[in-house]
Amino acid sequence: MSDTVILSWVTFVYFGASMFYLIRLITGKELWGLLALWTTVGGFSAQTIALVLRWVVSYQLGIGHAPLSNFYESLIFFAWAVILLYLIIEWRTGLKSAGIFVAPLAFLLMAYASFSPNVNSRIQPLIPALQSNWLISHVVSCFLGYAAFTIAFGLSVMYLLKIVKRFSRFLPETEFMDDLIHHNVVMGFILLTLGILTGSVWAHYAWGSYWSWDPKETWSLITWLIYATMLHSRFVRGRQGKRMAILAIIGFAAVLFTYLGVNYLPGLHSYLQS
Amino acid sequence: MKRKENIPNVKKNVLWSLFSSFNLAVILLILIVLLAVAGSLIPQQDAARELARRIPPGWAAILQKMQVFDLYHSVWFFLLLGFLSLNLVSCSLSRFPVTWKSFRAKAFPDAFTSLEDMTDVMTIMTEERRDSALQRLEGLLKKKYGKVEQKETARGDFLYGEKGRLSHFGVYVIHLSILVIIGGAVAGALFGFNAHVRVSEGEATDTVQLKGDGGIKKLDFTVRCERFSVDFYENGAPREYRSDLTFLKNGRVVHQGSLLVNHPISFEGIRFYQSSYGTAPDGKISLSFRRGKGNIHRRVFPLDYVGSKYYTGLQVAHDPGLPIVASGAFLLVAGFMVVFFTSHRRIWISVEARGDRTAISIAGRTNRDSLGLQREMERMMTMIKDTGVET
Repeated sequence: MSDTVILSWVTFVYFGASMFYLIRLITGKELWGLLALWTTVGGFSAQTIALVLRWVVSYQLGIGHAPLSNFYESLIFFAWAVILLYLIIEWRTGLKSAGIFVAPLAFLLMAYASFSPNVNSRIQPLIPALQSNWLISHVVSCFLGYAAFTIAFGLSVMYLLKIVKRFSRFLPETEFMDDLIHHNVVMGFILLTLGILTGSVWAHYAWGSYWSWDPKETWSLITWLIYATMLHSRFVRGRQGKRMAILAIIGFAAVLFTYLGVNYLPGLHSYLQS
Repeated sequence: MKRKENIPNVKKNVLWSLFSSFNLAVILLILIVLLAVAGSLIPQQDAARELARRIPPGWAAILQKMQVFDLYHSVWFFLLLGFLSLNLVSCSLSRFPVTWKSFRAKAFPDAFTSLEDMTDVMTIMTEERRDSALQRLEGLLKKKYGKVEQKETARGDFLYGEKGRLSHFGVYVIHLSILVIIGGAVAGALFGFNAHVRVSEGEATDTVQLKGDGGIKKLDFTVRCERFSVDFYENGAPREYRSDLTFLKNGRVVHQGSLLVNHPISFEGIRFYQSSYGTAPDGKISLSFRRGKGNIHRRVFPLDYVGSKYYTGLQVAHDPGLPIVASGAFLLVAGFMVVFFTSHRRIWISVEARGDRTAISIAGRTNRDSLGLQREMERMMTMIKDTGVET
């Protein structure tokens, strides 16, 4: 079975997992939570296998490279990273109610990758600019960072639901969510910083300048500044809770624009160009 | 964390409190974000020329004057960076005395009882004798915190351990790194250059065209393109661009090398990048003459011979700010390690005889990550309960 076929099935698995997490939230029955977790683990394992398969196949085609080089592969890796982080958090904290706020995001990323006519899922050879050892470290740190911000976003939506409507007694305590949002933002911030730095080194070798105000560079800086402001208002002003949740949502909007919106601006990073 | 404590040794004047205010930092960051957003949406530099043609010339002139078409090199942007740097310095300076106080804070093994704001004091009662408990706890604390201070008082015995004092300075390392990066970037913008040159196969040049104002810069050496080649994959995508370059000084070959994308060649502090290519201009050859000092006149002669000759487009860059920016980046990462992965943790343990039993209490304080400290205290508590633990 080809990797793209597996990956389009994984899309539905994540959809199923989302539904199970939702049912668990509504009914409060732990059985659904268990089912949701194992469905997610199953989807994640299949996705990991598909990624490895894609890597191997690229070598068989004689154009071997890590599956991190075009828009399709970035979407898949993004979804993979979101689920990976989510599973680690559920395993470490026992938090299950965040599943319904995170799994659908992974589903959407996978669905876009697999079913949008604008996304080319073929394995393509690397053009000269991408032939660099910095490709893997740059892409991995950026997308792990995006994934952490995505989870912070999901948790922030959950946080606002909890305080606005007393939405559900199954949602965890606000202090716990606040702390988790903070930790995810810190992790995302560190990884985004590493992503920008590795990207700068790479740009220095490939484009002749470590910083050229390409729209993607500019927007990654904007994203970085938003999260930096957020961290400062916590560290300096001791702000917590609702304000942080709102900033995490604004920050995530900047992440999305850095990732997707920038494609519609002319620049060196544009996925639509190739 | 309360930061409203009185800040000693700092004169309270209006300018100072304006520049060292956190609100100013937030406003500046928002302004920089807005400028960056505008710069990414409005065409900049070369791309702006087309826009300038489409809008009324009066408007174009005004926008040009306001430097809207080169926002990232505009006075506005440099002003914002300047204010941000000032703000960073004054914020750091005004907070430093408090940090210094926390850093120099003395170890009070018996501070335990007087510190009410200590997070969750945990206490257990054991049958263990005071002496053996003390010895065991000291070993436990030493293993985790290195040095242990001990004090005997009328109320009981106190043990004190701490680690990560230096973590107070992490934030200053980060702020310094930002200043270093800004400084390096400004140095690069002032003293560096970015240029472009096309060299046909077999031709040589010692001048490059500067980006921006389009001026001509003469190099101290000559670069010759021996050969250019491009290689394609089966699907038609490019696999490799390669220019074989020779660097000459006073007519003598000094260096030779192949230039590929991602593999620039550095020669006498000037870096060459493979950036474009094409076939040599439609059967014409362009020659440059030097007349007098520095004046360059360009004439184009038609040529009968049309061959499939390539030219290679080279980007030529010199950036003396590069090592500064690079060291700033290293500092930034180092600062991150300190701020996000260390904290100043202080732990107090008291051992107190109550009747024929012994009360062991543990309390802690930290500058950040109080949840992490609490978890560590809980782990220590379980180890304390477990009398079987080795000392």
